Amino acid sequence: MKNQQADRRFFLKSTAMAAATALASGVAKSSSTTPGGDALPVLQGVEWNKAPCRFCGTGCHVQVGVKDGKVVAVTGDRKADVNKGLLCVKGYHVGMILYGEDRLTQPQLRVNGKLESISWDKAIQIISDRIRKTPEKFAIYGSGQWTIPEGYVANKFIKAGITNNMIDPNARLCMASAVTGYIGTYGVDEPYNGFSDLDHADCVILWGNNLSEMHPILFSRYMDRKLRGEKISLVDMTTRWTRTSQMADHVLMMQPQSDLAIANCIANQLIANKTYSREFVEKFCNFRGPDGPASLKGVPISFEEYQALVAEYTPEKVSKLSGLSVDELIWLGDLFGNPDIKITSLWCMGMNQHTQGTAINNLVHAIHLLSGHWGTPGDGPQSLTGQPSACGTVREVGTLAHALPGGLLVANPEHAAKAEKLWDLPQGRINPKPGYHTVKMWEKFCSPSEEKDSIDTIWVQVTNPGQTLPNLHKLFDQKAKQKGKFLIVSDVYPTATTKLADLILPSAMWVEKNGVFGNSERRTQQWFKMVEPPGEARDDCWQTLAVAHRLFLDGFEGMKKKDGSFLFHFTDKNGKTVPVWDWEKYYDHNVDEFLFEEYRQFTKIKHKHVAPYQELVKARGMRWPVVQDKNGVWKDTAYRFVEGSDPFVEKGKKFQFYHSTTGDDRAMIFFRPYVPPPEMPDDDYPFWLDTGRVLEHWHSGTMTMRVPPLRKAMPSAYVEVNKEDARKLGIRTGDRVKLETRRGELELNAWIDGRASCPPGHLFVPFFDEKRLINRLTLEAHCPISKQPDYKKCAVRISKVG
Amino acid sequence: MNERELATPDRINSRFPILVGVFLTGCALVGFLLGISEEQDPGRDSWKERPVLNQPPKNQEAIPFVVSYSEIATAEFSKNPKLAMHFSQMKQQKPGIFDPVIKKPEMKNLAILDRVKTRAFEGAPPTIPHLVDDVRAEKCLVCHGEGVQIGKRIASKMSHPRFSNCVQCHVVKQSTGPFEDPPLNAVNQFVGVARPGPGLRAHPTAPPSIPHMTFMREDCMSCHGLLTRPGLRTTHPWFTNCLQCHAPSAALDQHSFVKLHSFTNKYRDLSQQTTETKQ
Repeated sequence: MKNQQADRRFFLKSTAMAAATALASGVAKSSSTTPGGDALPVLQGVEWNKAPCRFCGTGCHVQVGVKDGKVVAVTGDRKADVNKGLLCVKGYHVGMILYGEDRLTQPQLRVNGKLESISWDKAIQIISDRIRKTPEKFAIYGSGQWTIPEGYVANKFIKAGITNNMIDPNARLCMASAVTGYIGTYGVDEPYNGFSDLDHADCVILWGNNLSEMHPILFSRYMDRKLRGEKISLVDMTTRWTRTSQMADHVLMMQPQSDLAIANCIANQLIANKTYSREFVEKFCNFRGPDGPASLKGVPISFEEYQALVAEYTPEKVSKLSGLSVDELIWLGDLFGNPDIKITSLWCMGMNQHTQGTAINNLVHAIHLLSGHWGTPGDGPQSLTGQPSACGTVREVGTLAHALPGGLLVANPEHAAKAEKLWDLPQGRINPKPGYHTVKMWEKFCSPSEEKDSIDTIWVQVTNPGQTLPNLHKLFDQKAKQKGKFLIVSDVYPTATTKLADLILPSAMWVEKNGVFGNSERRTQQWFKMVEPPGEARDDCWQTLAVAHRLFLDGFEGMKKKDGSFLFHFTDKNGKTVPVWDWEKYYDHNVDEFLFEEYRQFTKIKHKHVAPYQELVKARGMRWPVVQDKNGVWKDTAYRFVEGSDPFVEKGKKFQFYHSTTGDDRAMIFFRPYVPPPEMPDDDYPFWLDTGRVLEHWHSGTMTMRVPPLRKAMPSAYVEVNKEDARKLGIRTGDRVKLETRRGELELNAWIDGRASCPPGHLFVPFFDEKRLINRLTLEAHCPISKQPDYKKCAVRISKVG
Repeated sequence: MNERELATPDRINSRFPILVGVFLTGCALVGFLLGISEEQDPGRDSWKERPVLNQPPKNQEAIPFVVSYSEIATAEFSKNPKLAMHFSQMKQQKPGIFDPVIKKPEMKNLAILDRVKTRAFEGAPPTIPHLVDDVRAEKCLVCHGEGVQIGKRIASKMSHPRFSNCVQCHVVKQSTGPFEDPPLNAVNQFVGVARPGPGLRAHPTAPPSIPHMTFMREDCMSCHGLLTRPGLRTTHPWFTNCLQCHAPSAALDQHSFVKLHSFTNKYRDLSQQTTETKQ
């Protein structure tokens, strides 16, 4: 017995000892070679290459680090003019967007409500069959995040191939008013200036845009000058208090829509005080007034008529409408009346997503022209673009229902003839009747297919209308109730749009394909493919080309050139046809370059010359017009219409608006009246509903929500409520509230004085959250000229839940 | 002891639990009633109105008396001036430049693992591991402008020059706010380079070359100095001209002409073969 006990005790002791020793040695081992410490991936062996960032229209350049076929790091590109090595939080994490675990990797067809994987071959055939059945009811809904070649192929596919002109981009929802504002003022689209203005301005005025969160690189490019001792100021004209307001020198809190009146008030004072620039106006400007509510180009008016039209916008009157004090309005008038300071006006969605978007754009250009704050570095109006290639692809390649590449119009016979020549089409191929703009396209998609003018098939590429269209119940959700509709979606992740898709096509993303973007300052920028896309994901460009070729083989006339050859027929140096429809051989050639060089010919027509592809390979973007100087060096253009900078301005002209509406090299000082919004707060719906963005998330969050540092910093949507309103309603931060408009309702958590603060009577909800779709509540009323909807203003009521 | 004296303690003893129960219930009731009578504050003060914290208190001597429960609802609460909220009052650790530096391999590993907690990959701007209520640069710089150590907590000096908009790059690690569950929780399979890697040495006692870029890391002492993770500390903090011995990488600093991507070689030859479609 005793021996057994002793044995047992000994056994226990020795096993305990053994265990302890093992543990101790294990711990010691693990601490000296901590898994993770030495085993973590290192920088050596990483290959670095340039690319523009995937996100906003600032178009920063990044250096992408690739190792073993995967992106492993990202850093700012020091050689890039735009950002000089600095990025923002989205840019720094852009490498992670490729790696969400639920990447789409197989084409999928919805059969009896369930998604089934199918082959690419079958998917292409399905699309071809569908198009040939009712080609006039087929539309492409594209994107300002399309690369230039992708947009070019889609545009040619529709304009030269299907010829119903049914192609419109999501940029209709973001930049259309800026476009019409430019056209009405200068006769052509796109900023004449660029980001270098921020290096020279003394005062930057923001017209309803939260610059520090939305274009952070541009914000800090300007504000960092303060750290170097420069005496510069930032004026934040805003409808709510944001991070930008926090850092601004002057905050002018205005009532929604009153920007129209404020701009006219400045014009009024410039004339009343005689502080407008007589010299600039007499030499370079004409006056213009609208002839009706949807007047793009307007009619000529005299200076006296203009003076009479702005006469009623006195500081006293505008103060009542705008909520700004009389002193603040006078201060603004004096600011613009001061010829010695350089003023840059910047704007984005506050002015563009506006039921009078074209008008307010015209007005801000007008006050700069009227006051002479135009044309010198740091002095001038500049529209900022949101998407990475809304300029490069949508506006320049013309992927709009009424446009052709290079700023041409389908309705203009001369333009159509030029396009037919460049595209080798039989005469009369191009249809002069514009197709549907975005809101109308989706309206027609959501109405019965039997109707003659309905749309029964939409191919969505690189965008998420199921989350970003206004009034979603009407423009998107209704699709589910209609018969005979077919929604094709080319995307990278499951989204709110793929929920109703009939055919889902997995796509390659960013550095998984070659690409070219064009940023907000006319800078075209190129990158090469660096990693392979996952599974069966393929380039959007290839997808469109493959369908075009299948249609060609299936006998569809539209996919033929004049001589009967394929619409997208390219030959290599040996004269051999490049099989752009064959995925296996797609990257044997640089299809991007073929397409870009063909597109480039269009850009010469209206002096928008983009650089040759090979020049873009070497550069960190080049601002068009890019022409060769007398030494054969390709030079880009910092300031369009300005002598010395723009190669097309004649000598001695100083400023020449060579595409002027009036044909006399002048810009238009356009008068537009204040028009109230279609839906304002009333007894039933007493609050303004504003929607927008936050720093951490890009648009609908399909990419950024899958990046953990960004998701954790901003996990979900909420509603910003003013503190006083909350007190009256008995709402505290974190309380569940219900928002209702005439179109929809949504439950959210309230946030008082969170990321930003609303003034009394206003609510704000960000739209990045796929589960809290605020666009079910927004209104699709749009600017009559640009057709861009207003996401910033409709009437809502709020109540506490539970 | 007689019976009577025994009886009283016994009675109290036997009813003790009940008495305790009654007492606690009474406290709870009082507390509850006071609690619900407190005025509901809809939210924390707007940061616009927030008192500035880093100014020294005006009156050092006045300490408010503690008020009784009945007066709580109407009492004036104010800051306790004796509370050390100002940095000049907090005891900062200032390590000496000649203090002995103890380094073990496991310390370095711990430092690397610690850095990885707030960085998606090497070179990513670290996420902020603490609450942020004022996003202005001058607020961040109070601690991160020069670096500070209080007790065991270190706020490192930032490694890059001063910019004006800190929060455009640095977001909070875990946001506080009235958030719900995120709309999706997809796992991200990105694996970033987690550390620069040991600097290469020409021979065993040579100074290691710098295995990371020096752009945005202009101040070496920020990671390798005194107010930093022990595992990364330099063994010789009294030297000030780091770059005289430790060579940076031209490639990582983007000074050299980086070799163009391999695709371009293929494409450059072919692009000369490109013929534009017939014009």
